[in-house]
Amino acid sequence: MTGMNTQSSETAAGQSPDQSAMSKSRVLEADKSCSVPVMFLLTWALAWLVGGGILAVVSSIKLHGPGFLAGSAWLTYGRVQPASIHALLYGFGFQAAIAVGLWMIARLGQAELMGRKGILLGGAFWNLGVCLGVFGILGGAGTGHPMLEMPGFVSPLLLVSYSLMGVWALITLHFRQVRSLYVSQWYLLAALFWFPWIFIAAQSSLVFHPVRGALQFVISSWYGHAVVALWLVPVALAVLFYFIPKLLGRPLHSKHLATFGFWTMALFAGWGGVQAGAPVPRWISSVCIVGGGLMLLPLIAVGMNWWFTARGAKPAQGDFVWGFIRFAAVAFFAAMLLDIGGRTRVIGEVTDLTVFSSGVYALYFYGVFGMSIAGAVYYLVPKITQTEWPSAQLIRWHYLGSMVGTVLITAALVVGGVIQGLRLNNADIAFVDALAKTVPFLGLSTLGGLILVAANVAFLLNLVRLLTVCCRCCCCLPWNGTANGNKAAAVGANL
Amino acid sequence: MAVTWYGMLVAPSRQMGGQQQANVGPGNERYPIPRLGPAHRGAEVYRSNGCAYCHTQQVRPQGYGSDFERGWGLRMSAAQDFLFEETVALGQVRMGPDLANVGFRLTDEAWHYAHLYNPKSKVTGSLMPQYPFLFKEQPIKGSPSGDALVLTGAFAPPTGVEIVPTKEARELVAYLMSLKSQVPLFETPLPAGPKQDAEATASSEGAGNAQTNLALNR
Amino acid sequence: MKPDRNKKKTSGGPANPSAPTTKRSTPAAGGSKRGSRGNSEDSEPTAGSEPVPVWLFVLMALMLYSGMSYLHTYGGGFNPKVYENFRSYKLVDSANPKSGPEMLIAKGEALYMVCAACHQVNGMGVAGQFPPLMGSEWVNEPNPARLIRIPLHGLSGPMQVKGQDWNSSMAALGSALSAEDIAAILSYIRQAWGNTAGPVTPAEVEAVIADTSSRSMDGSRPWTASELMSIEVAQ
Repeated sequence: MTGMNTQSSETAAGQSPDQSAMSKSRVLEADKSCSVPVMFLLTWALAWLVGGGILAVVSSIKLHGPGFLAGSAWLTYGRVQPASIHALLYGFGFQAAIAVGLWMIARLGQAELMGRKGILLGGAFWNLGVCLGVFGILGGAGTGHPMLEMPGFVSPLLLVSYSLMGVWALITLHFRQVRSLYVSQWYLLAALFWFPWIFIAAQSSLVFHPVRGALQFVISSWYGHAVVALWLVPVALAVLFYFIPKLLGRPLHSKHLATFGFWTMALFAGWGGVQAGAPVPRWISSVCIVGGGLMLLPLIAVGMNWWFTARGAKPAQGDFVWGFIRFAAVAFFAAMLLDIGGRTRVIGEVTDLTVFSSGVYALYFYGVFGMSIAGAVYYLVPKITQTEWPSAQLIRWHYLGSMVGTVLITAALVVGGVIQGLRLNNADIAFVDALAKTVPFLGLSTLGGLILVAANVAFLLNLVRLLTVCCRCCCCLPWNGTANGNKAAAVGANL
Repeated sequence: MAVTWYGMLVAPSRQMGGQQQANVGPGNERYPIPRLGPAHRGAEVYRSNGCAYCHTQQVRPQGYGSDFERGWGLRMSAAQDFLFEETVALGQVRMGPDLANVGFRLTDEAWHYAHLYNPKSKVTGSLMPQYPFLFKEQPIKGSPSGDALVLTGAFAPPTGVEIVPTKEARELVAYLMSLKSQVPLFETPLPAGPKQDAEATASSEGAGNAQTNLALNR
Repeated sequence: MKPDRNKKKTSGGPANPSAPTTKRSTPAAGGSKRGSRGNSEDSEPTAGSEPVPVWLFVLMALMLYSGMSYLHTYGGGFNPKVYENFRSYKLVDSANPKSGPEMLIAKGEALYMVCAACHQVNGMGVAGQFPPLMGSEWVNEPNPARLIRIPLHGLSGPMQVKGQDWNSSMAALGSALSAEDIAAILSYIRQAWGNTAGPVTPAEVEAVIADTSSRSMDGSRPWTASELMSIEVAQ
């Protein structure tokens, strides 16, 4: 991974038209080669996004209306809540990230995506694994470790299918035509390695050979932190570092600043998860507080880089992709600042053990990760399928809905969490009364969740309509092309 | 990356992985004691129904939050308390009260059964969901069963019907009753001051104090 | 796997990712990249090479320093026994009530200097002269009744310790040390150097003194090993 920042400095001022045409055709080839596996992963990802979103709304309603669907063990809050988190994170988050990552690796390297069948197989097994995992949680077989609830037998399946997909990303990267690596590739490559590392480390010591006592808490909290800081955020940063300069039509301000941001993040992002006051030796939570403070460094570096890149620039032709990207970039700063602040002792005394952390997670997940992925999807799908989005109206709804929904959920949970914390810390207020003031905010977050589900239905609908248009044009299903990658490319070229 | 791994996983493992029972009294008393029988199985019920998504089992240190003032514990929780937990369920959010010492604070099993069946029957305004699937509704044959729930007023079952806890409910309540972590430890001595007199906290004396502190809905 | 892999390899050397229309700016001409929008929307993003501002490194050094000093203050010395509300092991230690066996052991450690003259600070004794206390079956006997008698009245004659024969004598300390002192020393040696027996209470020593009131503590009637072994002790 040390070779990652070997960004070539030979970015010459001119290019012969010949070369440029060649690179253009290679880009086209790379795009087309992605179509089948990426569309497969994306379709399933969006299906999980809608499904997980519905589960999230159900669990959110239960928080303020405990009688809702309370009769069944399968739908009790303590199972629906983790099920929704896992459906969204592993069903949507991972598949969408891998889909976008594969495309970006192929596109930036101007190389055809390799191992398409392997990726399809991996994607199929991944979906099977997440499905089993979510049903396992609803059936009461959860492991009891937040973010790692899926029953133990699922994780080998997930790891194998992840490797099936990840290996081909690496091979595609290896055979890239453009030798120099762009910032986005660093983040993607890092995330690609970080996930199996944190997953194996946490799974093996929690599920397969459970460690004793409170150590489990340290490891599961660390995993919950790391899966955001070392997977969701790097993937989102890869997307943002790609699209901000691209849509603004100017080079990124500084690759050195990007290097600084990348390595400080690689060094400090993993230090977190255990809040102050937790029943473990004090140094562990102190280290997490310091790690949070040091995360200001990559935050500043990334912020400066984007700021100087974007200053005074306007995106090309009122691009709707830009809306998503801009929102995700702003959300990144808001989420990081809330996260770092929440870790300090002063704020943590109020916000720890309240819904505040769910609000920050929602901002990371929907705001930073979801919005940047959505922006990327809107850009890449027309390229790889050679089909325009059927409805601009649905995109507008999706944009507005996800923006309003994300802001509503985050604001409601953050403000509600602070109120909950302040009132719980005042022992003169009885517990039930302390919580009562937070209930309206929980209602608001349910509303936000509903809006998000509606927005994501629009997203999915648009994608499905695009697929049917695409299929009708080709007079054949796109995945008929899997049998022969070249044929798929040829079909795309005929459009 | 390796540094992070060392710092967040290996170093804590080396410190806490080899933890043993502690000596907590002049007579060589050991703490904690592993759970046995129904209480042990009850931990599984607690885990599989995701109770930890609303309840914590960690008393925060004195002066940090209001856990002490609420009577949730006489000292902060320590790693030692969780030594024998198969799945450590510290919890992340307090939609419900902390349960680290619920075995001291709420000692009435009948209260727990009625509360699990319908929390509102015991705590007005409770946000906790009902757990009817942990109970069985059955017609009264002859005299009512000894373990039938005592529910009054609006919560009473129709005449001729009684509600009895299932095996899971019994195990869960046994588990709740076993949640006690007040024994002073070296690393978490009882805070100095007026609470010092509760030296004999393991005895029912300390528990009684905490319980009188405890308005039901705290 | 891919039939056209070879073809691709021949299809070109390292390609230039920058768009033809993107004017590259030298770091010195910071503003010149303004308005150089690539008009080909498929041009891949490239990165400029502005240097990292020096103050960012200064900030990093400052933050690392303050992080370290935070850990120095609030890290509890990375000790597993230091929790919130304490800053060091010493403070935890002093917050613990000093009574019962712990205090006895601490006192015993100081008083052990008397014994260390023969049995050595490390409890190993001196080969052929003074038997070891470390791992000794006499010291580690669950019921300390026999052990208490040894310092009270002294011991002389042949005995077996850890499978070896010894033949020397030990002076009586009963008149020089109080019952609590003796309990302290014995409590200390029963948990030091890997010994694992429980503490000895002053009351237990008092009880032995009462039982042996006929025996003088001035060293005139030391015990022999066989005498000690013949004492009935509840195990």
